[in-house]
Amino acid sequence: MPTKTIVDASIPNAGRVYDYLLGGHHNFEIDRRAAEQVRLATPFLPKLMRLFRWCLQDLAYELTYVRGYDAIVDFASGLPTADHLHSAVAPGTTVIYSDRDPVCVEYGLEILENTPNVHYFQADCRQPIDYLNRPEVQALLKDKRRVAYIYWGISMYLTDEEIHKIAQDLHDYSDDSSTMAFYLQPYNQNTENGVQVRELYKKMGDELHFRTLPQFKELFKPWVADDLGYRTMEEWHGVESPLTAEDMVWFPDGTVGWGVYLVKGK
Amino acid sequence: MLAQHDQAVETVSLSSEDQAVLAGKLLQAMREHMYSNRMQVPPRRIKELAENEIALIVDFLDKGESQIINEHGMTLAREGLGQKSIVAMASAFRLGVWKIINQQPDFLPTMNLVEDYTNALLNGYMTAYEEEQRREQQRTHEAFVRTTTNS
Ligand SMILES: C[S@@+](CC[C@H](N)C(=O)[O-])C[C@H]1O[C@@H](n2cnc3c(N)ncnc32)[C@H](O)[C@@H]1O
Repeated sequence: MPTKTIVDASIPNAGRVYDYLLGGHHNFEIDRRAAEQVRLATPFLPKLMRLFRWCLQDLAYELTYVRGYDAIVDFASGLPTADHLHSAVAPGTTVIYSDRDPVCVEYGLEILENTPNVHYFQADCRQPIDYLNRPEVQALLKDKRRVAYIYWGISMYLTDEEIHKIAQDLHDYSDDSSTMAFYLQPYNQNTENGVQVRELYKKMGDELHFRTLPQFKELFKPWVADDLGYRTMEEWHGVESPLTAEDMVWFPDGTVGWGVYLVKGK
Repeated sequence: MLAQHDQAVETVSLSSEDQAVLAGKLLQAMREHMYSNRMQVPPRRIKELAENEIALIVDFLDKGESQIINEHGMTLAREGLGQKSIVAMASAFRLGVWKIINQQPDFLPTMNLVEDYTNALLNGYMTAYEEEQRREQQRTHEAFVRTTTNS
């Protein structure tokens, strides 16, 4: 996402389009118009976005209360509104948000101002190690390597090479008991509407990338899924598919997306 | 100002069977509109919300404290219950209670109370929804200004 569209309110921005489609108010007329075009091409998109956004609180609960992590490093966090991780983690957890969008960061700093142990930095999620080694992040993590990393709702903005590099770098960097929570976005980009949506995002400066489950698994290596496996959003939330039979053309795997906790393979 | 209901009014009380029927209707209405919910209202919470709503209306029919319902409406807006969901909820209440009690001779005062309930709920919801909207817009504006001044 180029910085230009992020700080220019006269050009639509994918982050604000996402916010609008989720029913938020952190967007401008130009974003709403772009969002309506996206919605026209892919009417199911707001539902899909809601399904993966609804996972954030589950991640927070599972990682801290169930798995005992006391530090979460979340990449490409978006807006830290009341539904984000910090409102559902166990007391005392350090939550470190980051995003490339400086407006998100400013916004985040403002709403999190008085929230203990919650931080927000500007960072590119494609360079996790540079970021983790930054003095301000190190000051919080204090060389801790047992950390839960989260990449949620970002796979479509990353190339294959970038995902693979992130996975490898974090694997090398982290403790054996670390985990990486990841949301996987499939989509048949070769349909007419698929091409249309990619064009719309291209105008906002974003190249979208979608993949199948086997492709994702390959890219995550050497990480592997934990016992919960790759859970479809429908399984995750206990709901029926929000897709019509027609929509299914866009989702050849029969699901709108998967969530997974990746762990280090034996 | 929301009035406290007149204790002298004779109202129909809902049996536990009625309550279960109403809960079912409410749940159905809320499920239909679950994708209008945001923030802290994932599908998993819908059942709990519907049950809580039944407890609140039963209590309201008994005590008539509108202020509690008004504040409850505000909480639902802040938590992210969608506009479609709250409208569907209100309508499920009216229709649901009416279907249960309309054969009884003295059903009108109860229907008036249900109307008071949904009004208080919707008023509270709208007040908080607008407040949230203004707050979010102001924050976005300020974050935007700070970013452009910093860069
Ligand atoms: C769809 S939102 C997801 C936000 C949040 N993680 C969620 O699940 O709701 C995508 C976010 O990724 C951010 N983003 C896109 N590319 C990025 C990059 N290379 N580095 C960091 N953030 C990025 C955008 O600014 C946006 O806030």
